[in-house]
Amino acid sequence: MDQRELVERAARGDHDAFAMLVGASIARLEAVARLILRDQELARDAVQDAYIRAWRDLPGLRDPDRFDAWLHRLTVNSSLDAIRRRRRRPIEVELSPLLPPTVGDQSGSIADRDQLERAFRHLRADLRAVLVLHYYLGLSASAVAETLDIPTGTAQSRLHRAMAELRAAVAADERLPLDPQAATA
Amino acid sequence: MNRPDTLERELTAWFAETASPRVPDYADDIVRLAVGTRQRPRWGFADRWLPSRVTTLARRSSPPRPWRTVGLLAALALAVAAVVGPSVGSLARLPRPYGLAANGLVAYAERGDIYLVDPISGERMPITSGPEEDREPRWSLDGTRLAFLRASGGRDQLAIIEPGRPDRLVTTDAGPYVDTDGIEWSPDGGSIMFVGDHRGVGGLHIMDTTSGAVTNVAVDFDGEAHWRPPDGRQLMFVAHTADGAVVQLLTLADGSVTELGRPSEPDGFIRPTGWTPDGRRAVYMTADGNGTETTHVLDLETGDEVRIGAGFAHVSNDGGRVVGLDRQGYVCVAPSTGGDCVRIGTRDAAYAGTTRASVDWSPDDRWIVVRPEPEVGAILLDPTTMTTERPAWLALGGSSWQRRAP
Repeated sequence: MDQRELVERAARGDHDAFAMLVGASIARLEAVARLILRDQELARDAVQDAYIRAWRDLPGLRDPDRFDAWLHRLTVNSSLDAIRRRRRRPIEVELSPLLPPTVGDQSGSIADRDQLERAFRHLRADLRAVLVLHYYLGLSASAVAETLDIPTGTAQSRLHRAMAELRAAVAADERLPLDPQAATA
Repeated sequence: MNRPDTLERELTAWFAETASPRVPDYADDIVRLAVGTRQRPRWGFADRWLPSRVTTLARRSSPPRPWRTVGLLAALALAVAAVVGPSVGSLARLPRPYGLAANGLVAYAERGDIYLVDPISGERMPITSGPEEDREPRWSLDGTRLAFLRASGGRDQLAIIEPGRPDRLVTTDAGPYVDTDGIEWSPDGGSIMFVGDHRGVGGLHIMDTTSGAVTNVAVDFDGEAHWRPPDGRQLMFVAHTADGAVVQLLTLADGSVTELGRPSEPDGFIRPTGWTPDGRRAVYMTADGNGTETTHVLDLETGDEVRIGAGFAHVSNDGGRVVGLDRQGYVCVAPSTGGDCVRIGTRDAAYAGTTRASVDWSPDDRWIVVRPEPEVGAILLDPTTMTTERPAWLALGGSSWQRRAP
């Protein structure tokens, strides 16, 4: 059974079809939410919220072939909503680190990864989202625009600004003294 | 597009390493939870029954509000009217839509409601309340009304309110997606331009601020747009053409377009950022493949162009300066007639990716308000002394400064 048929069946209320759609996509969506939110628990909430919205609104999805883009949009929106909700709570949730890097070719790049991590955290959530869609999911600027339902120019603008911000944050990180006391000496 | 540089390759590799997809152990729980909720019936989606290319939709809607909210708003109205009233109660004292004005109240969003803060007294007053999530307030250019985004049911709605008169809430008829970078009042306050999705039609839209009716601007829209001062009869926007993105000028009366600028290289980046208050000089930015950003100030009468080494620039109310971001991401100020862009403050003051939502000149040009993060405390930059301040009254944020008659 192809995805289009699964989407059509789920839109008619078929639980099994929806479970298969979830099974095929949840690993990807969970990774997207984790990257945007930088928090495991928030990511879980966002993914759960995205799938509940997906089930609820599936009958209104006009083009089943756009299911993936639609699901990505729901996930990004749920992630941004999660941040807004967190800001509405009086107690801020501490950001927790992502999973440790998997073993692989990391020759000489650990320091760069740490810098990237710090610089990436420095970005606004909506800018992190466009970077994740573009550089993690591999979507083109026009596909990012379609996913977020914004003009291509706006998507390009955000990608451009996000990379500029990331570059600047990495450069600023490189200028920071390693020894805090050295800065005041 | 340009080939990925080292940082882009590093980012891609880091994403792949740190977020390798794995099926979480709560997948079954999510399925159970989701299918336990009720699906919206097919007929519940209005756009199924409407043409997909709607260009004009006229309808006014005020969503039902709980009585508690209505009562609270009524009480707030009296308090707000006492503070805001002096500036909005007399037509004779309204400021001109462009140029220097006196500083009024600063609007901001906190925990889903819109507030005003008086920079002099520090006094705060709520403008909206209730369960809806309100954010991104924008004062009209005459300082009498506030536009803001209201999230309800997972979608955005553009709403307009007259502080002190909550009974006059005007909203768009359906929940569109609205880009926070794309909201701009027209000079006469009769319209608001916004970028987003409305009833399945994406792109540039104009909302009638009295009726809430929304009209799609049928252009090959590909990015930000700005009304041309002083009358708003033309719009500068990014158009998608066969040659890529270009900045064009649209005359609303006859639909004619004129090209104003194009990127420095094929597939390069271009974006309009504003006008001088007389509407004579258009301001837009470009960026090349190396990420070098340039602000262009183009005189439409003479064709003369000034280039400034900064991006995402925002023109001061008197038209004499621009505030932008330099190559290292620092906020900087330069004369609009050209010259060096001089840094203000530290990297913490840098805003991200937008000129409307994150940076604004005070109406008297005395200050630059910067919001490095949405809904987080704002910062004041002094473009005269080139210093930074974090006044207590901005600790909760500030995104739009009311214009008052001088």
